[in-house]
Order: sequence, then C-alpha cells, then structure tokens
Amino acid sequence: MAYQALYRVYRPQTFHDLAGQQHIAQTLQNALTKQQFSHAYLFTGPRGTGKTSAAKIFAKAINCEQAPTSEPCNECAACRGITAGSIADVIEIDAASNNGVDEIRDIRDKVKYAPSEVRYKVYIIDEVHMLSTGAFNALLKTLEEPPEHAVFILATTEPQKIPLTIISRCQQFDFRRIPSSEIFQRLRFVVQDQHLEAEDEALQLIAKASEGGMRDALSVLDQTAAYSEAAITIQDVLDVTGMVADQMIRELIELLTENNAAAAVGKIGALLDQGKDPLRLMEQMIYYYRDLLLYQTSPQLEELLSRPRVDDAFRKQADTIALGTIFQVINQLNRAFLDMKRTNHPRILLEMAIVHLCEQSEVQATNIEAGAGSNELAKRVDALERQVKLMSSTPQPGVTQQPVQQETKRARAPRRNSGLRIPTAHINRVLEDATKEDLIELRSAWAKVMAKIRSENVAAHAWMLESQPVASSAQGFVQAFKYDFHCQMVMENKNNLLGLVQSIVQDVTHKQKVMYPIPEDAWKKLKKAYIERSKSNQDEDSDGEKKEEDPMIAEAKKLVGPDLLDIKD
Amino acid sequence: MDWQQLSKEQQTVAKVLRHAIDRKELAHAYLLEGPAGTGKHETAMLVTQTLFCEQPTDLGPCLTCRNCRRIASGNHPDVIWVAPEEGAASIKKEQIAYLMKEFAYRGVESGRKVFIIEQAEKMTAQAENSLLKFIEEPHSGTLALLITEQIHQLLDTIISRCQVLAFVPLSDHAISRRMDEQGLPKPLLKPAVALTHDYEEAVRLCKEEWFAEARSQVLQLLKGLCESLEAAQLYIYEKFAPNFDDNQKMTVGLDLMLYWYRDLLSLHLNRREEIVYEDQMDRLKEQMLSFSSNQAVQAMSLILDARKQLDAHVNGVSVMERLVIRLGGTR
Repeated sequence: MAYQALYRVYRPQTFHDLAGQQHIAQTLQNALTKQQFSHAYLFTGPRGTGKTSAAKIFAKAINCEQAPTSEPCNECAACRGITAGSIADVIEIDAASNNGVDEIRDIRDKVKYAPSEVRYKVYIIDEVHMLSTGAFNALLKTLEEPPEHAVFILATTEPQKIPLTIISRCQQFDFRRIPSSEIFQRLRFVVQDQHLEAEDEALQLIAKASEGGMRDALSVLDQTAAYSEAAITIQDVLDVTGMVADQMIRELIELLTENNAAAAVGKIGALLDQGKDPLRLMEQMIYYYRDLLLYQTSPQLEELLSRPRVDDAFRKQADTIALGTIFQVINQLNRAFLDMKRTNHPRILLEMAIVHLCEQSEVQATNIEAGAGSNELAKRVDALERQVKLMSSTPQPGVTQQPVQQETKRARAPRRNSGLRIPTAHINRVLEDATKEDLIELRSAWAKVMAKIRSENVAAHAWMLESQPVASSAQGFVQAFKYDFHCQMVMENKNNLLGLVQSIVQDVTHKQKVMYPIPEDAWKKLKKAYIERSKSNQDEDSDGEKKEEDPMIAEAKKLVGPDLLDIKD
Repeated sequence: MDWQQLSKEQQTVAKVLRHAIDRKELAHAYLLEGPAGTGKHETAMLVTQTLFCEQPTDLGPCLTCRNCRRIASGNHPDVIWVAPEEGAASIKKEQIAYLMKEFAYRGVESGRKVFIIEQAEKMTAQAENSLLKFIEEPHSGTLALLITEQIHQLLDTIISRCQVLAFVPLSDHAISRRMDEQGLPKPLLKPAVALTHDYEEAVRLCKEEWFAEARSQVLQLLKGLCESLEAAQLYIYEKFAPNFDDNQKMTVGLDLMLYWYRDLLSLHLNRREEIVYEDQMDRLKEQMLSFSSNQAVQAMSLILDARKQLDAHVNGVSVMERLVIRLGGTR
C-alpha cells in the first residue's frame, strides 16, 4: 500500500483518542450509553480539531455490534466496514461539491428507506457551510423529524454561515483548538509508534506552531521527518516551517531595547537574505513581545506563552523592558504588519518600523530627562566642566595658543581671510586617533545636530551650513568649511558658537568632542601632508615590506575608512 | 531543471521531496508556495517526471523516454494540469469537478495519478471547497501538487491538508550578480532588481529604454527637491508627468524614489552593501549630512502613502504633486 500521510494514519478511531475535546467526548459517550442520542448534530470548530473524526467515531459507536457502548470496538464487521468506507448506510457527503437542491432532495428521498447492513443510517455532511440557501431549506424538514433510523451529522469550520433554522434543529458541539500540550503528547506517541527519533523541544515547537490544529501538526511532523537525515531536531523544524530561531529574535529585541537601529537592521537583513519571510519574522517578533507582556503581567500562565519554555534570558528581558514600552511596540509593529501584508516592499516596511522604534524611544528617553527638569542645568554644568577640563588638560601649546589665536584674530580682521590661523597641532592629534567608526557615527548624526543648531540659533546654523565633519577621533573632530569666511566666523567664536555646537554634538551622540574648524582647501593640504608624513614614518618602520597599494590611498583608508573613500584617477 | 539544480536553489524543498521519493513516503498533497520565478512549475514537472520516468537516474528523469516527453508536452493521460482557462480570472468549480471525476478512476497506464493545479489561489470559493474532501483522503496512488504565489489567499482548511513547501526567493544580491554576469548596465541593474525581486522581470526592465529615462528623471526630481520646492514642482509638470503617463509607470517612479530614501537610511545605518544608487554615492553622502535617519523614514512613509493612493486609482500627477509638496515639508 502506498504511503499515507501521518494525519490519515493517526486519525483517532475512538473517543478516547480524540485529543483536547473531552467536553464533547464525554457528552457523546453519555448519550450513547443511555441510548439518548439526538437525530442531528452540528460539529463546528477550526481546522484540524477532529470534527470529521468525531463524526465517524460516532457513526461507528451507534452501529457497533456491541452497542449500546461508549466506544466503538473497531473489531466487528460494522466498525471495520465503516472505517474502510464500504458500508452504504454511512454516507459521507461533501457538501461543497454537492451543494445544490437536487442533491439534498436525493437525500430526502432516500432517507426513508431502512438501512440495509447496520442499525442506523448516518449522513455525515462535511463542509456544510457551502450548501446553497435552497439546499439548506430543502434540508430543514428532513432535519427536523427524520425517520427513526436516520442520524445527521453536519460538520463545518464556519458556523456563522449556517442558517439559524438549521442550528436550532441540531445539537451543536463547538470543537476547541487543541492545547499545545496535548498535541505534544500525541506527536510523541506518533514518533514512538513510527520509530522515529525526535528531540522533545522540536516536537514542542511543532505543537506551538500549529496553533491548535492536529492535522497541521502532523503534516509538519511528516514533512520534517522527510527533511531530516536522522533524528528530528529543532533546526529541522525551523528550516521546514521557515521560522526564525528564538535565539535570533531575542537578540534582535535586545538590540531594539538598546536602540541600536544599525545593528538591528543589519540582523534583519542577514535573516531575510537567508530566505526568511519578512511577514513571518514580524509575526514572531510580535509574538515575542506578547510573551514578554504576558509574562510580566501574569508569570504563572506559562502555558499561554507561544514559546516552548521560559528560560533565564527571557526572564531577564521581561524584567528590563517596561510595560508601557511593550504596549507601544506591539501596537506599532502590528500596524506595520498590516501594512506589510498589502505592499510588495515588506522588507522596507520592516526596516522602517525598526528604525522608527529605535528613534522614538530615544526621543522618549530624552523627554523623560527633560521632564526631570535638571536637563538644562546639567547641560550648563557639563559645558563648564568641559571648559575647565579643556584648560587644564590641554598641554602647553594649547593653552598658549588660545590667547595667541585671539590676538591674531584681532590683528587679522582687516586682512580678510588670508591669515586664518589653523590649529594644526590639534588637528594632527585628532588625525592620529581618528577612526572610521567615529566619523561614520558623527556624519550620521550630523543632520540631527544641524536641526538642533537651527532651533537654538539660526545664525549659527547659517554659518555651519556649508561645512561638514571630515575626520573624527574619540575626543575631537575636524570640521571642513567650504568658504574661508564662514570658517573664520566660527573660529572667532562669536556668541560662543563653538561651545554651542559642541554641546549639541554631545547631546546627540552622547560623546564629548572638541570641534576644530578648518577651511576646505587647507584641510586638503593638511590631509596630504599628514598622509605623506605618516607614509614616510611607515616606510621607516617597515623598510623591506612590499607595498601593494598606493601608500596614499592606504593611509587615506586608515584615516577615513575604505567605505568613505572614492578613488578617482 | 534537475535535482542538483533544485537543491542548489531551494535546499529545503529539494531535501524534503528527494527524501520522500527515495523512501517512497511521498504525501498525497503538496502545496508549492513562493514568489514568481522561484521554479515552482519546474519543480512540479521534475517530481512528476521522476515518478513516471522509465529510466530515472540519480540526477533526475531521463527526459528522453516516452513518459518524460509526454509529461513535458502535457499529453500524459495520468498527469492532469489545471490552470485558469484562457481569459478566465479563476479556476471554476466545473474544472475541479472534472478533475474529481477523472480521479475516481485508476491510472490509465500506471498505478499513479498526478494532478497539478497552477495558480491555486485563483480557485473560486466553491472550487476550493469541493477540493477539500477530495484532497483530504484521495485514492491511494494519487498525488496532488498545488502551486500558488499567494498562500494567504487560500483557505486555511486547504493549507492544513497539504504539506507546504515554501520556495524562498533568490536574494537580491544573487540576482544582481547573475545580471552582472550578463553584462547589463550597472547603474540600472540594482534599481531594477530592487523593484522586481525577480530575475526575468529585472532583465526586462533593464533592457527597456524607458526605465533608464525614468531613473534619471527621478534622480533629477530628487535633486530639484533638495534645492527648491518650486523648481521640483515645475519639473513634475514639464518633464516628469509626460514620461510617467500611466499609473503603472508612476508606481515605478514612486518605487525608484522610495529606494533613494532607503539608500539614505542604509547610509545612516552604515549598510553600504544595500545601497541601490551606487553611482550616486557622492550625492547621497552629501544629503545624509542634512537629512537624519528619522527624516528618511518619514519620507519613505510618505511615499508609501502615495503608493496607496495610486493603488486606489487617484490621478498619478496629483499624487506626485502632493507627495513632492509633503516631501518638501520634511526638510
């Protein structure tokens, strides 16, 4: 015999096997033993919860040779015949294909004949919601008072489509989604019975992922068994279902709580490039937050969580994230999720949602600070401290340079820009410590810095407009100005412009940096000189070493990083 | 396509199917789901031919025997393909009824019968429901292969009766690499891939003259937008609108704009390999200094809003006009 899907092999054959539907099994069994069963039943419930199976078991139980009994024996001729589908008195009708009045009339005409092989004629009408209105109405009279020997069992997933007149003539049984623990038990039984090997956690994952449908669970198990080489592992289940490992989601959410948009988007990009579905990923993230929420509010309800088990890392995360934040995040992700379903750029929407979340909570964080009221004050204290530090920490040349600089400025004023004094020593020091990461971070934050400058001092914004950061170390950054005139204005430090920019940079990047303004052409010269100088230094250091790259390019790379460099011949 | 190629492109799918065939544990119904151009049809063909081939090798069916050739030409009596009839929008209940009648009999030439439903999401509700009972417990030796691009449009009850084989789309990088080998123009290649996520579509776009024009016009518009709102608006009427004269084209235009702002965002997040407009790096870098990541996100959601309006059949030029004014406001 050809291979049969697991869900067909393991169709329950007794009420006892019917997982997760004790309330229904109990009622039906009592009715059976007391011989008080009704002539019409309506089974409703989501897919894979056992409606059709229950109908078949019921048909067997009333026709079993041992009847009245609470369970079919599955051994007598009647039981076996019904299981094999060879008994003409148990009629399984597919209402979706036979939905017309004519088919129902046919039932009505034949129902009055007595059964030929067993005691009761059982009509199992599956997918009954697909019957046409005419067909439903044609069925009404028969359903109300069928002959003694007839039993109707209607099954559907969509009870809201059934006319009330039908429902009122039947005993309705509502099948529940099967709890994941019961699915797990059943899966374990199947695995043992099939002589498969499987990790318990993998089975638990399947059980959780199938959302209460036993057939779904067994389908996935079937597929995973076909996929895996030997034992079924969690990884196999993840591969087959296209889900992302819990670990990954946790890391992602950790990045989100740290407001690290760059890393989070990077991680998502990596996952999606592996072929994960962005919608599925979003769904899992929402579920993760839901779990955090549930765990925070009612830790004893672990059964309700969508994850197989609660571990320490999860607990820790649940403790650190505030309840309000979770609500907000779920709300936003949900909205983005709905949008994602309707667009053909789900990936972009996902990225946008992530960035938005990070930015927003950052703003909130600063708002909270501002709410405390001490923000302004703290800023001023900071600025003061910085000045003091600058004075005390800058070595001799720096201290002497400042007054000199001011002097020269005064002297230079009428001479326009020709004699702009550039703090070369400082800039060189910055260049020595300059790293690519610092510059990228600063450049990325620059738009925010400028927006803040504008909101605080429009004139300053105008001066700074035609300039950009070109190099940055942890302590300072070099700002290149397109026009000497602007540079000069900034250097003269009118209205404490330098201080303003520096404090804003600190606000945005949370790093204390000193700004060194410089005109653009001077910057180019300086850079070249610096590169050449360090090149010669390096040549001395590594005399015999073969150089493949243009040393200038190499040095420029070291300075600003290969990404920011465009090599043009 | 043979098994080796399949396992290179769709590892999970290939593994599941190959194992199932080798162990003779093929389920009775599979749902092949995934975006266009991922080889679903070819896989269905491969499975069927492997099953019927007279001299199958490890690599796959021989493709030369009678059975293989007849399956390929659609003439095998035991293999039935169902697809929306020509000109029809859906697969009708009658087609499924025919299928069920056909499958009430045993195979003509072998013990097996295979039916393949293409664009399964196009089935009418009646058709889908009639299929339900049938694919739950078909006669032994029956194999159902359902192919769809939109799994969410199928009934839950259908999905739960099948083993779902998800076809992963090729990553954009893989597609662009393939196109690069073809020697297609580089500046066009990445936007085309980003817009379509599909090799053949992207190649078609790349070869279209209009697309190159569209790209440069969008860039022009964005440049104008950086400088002054008025200039950008004038540009829409004079140059942009005549070129993007129907909603389809306007959609492409909006998508191109969307990717500009996404590039800005990628630059902010330091993900340079994601950047689509590689040749515009200088301009991107320049704009990054005055455009924060938050603004980029805002601009992107404005563009997506505009796309929604376009989908609701609002006049294309009006949508663009409104978008440009709103974009001007985000600065």
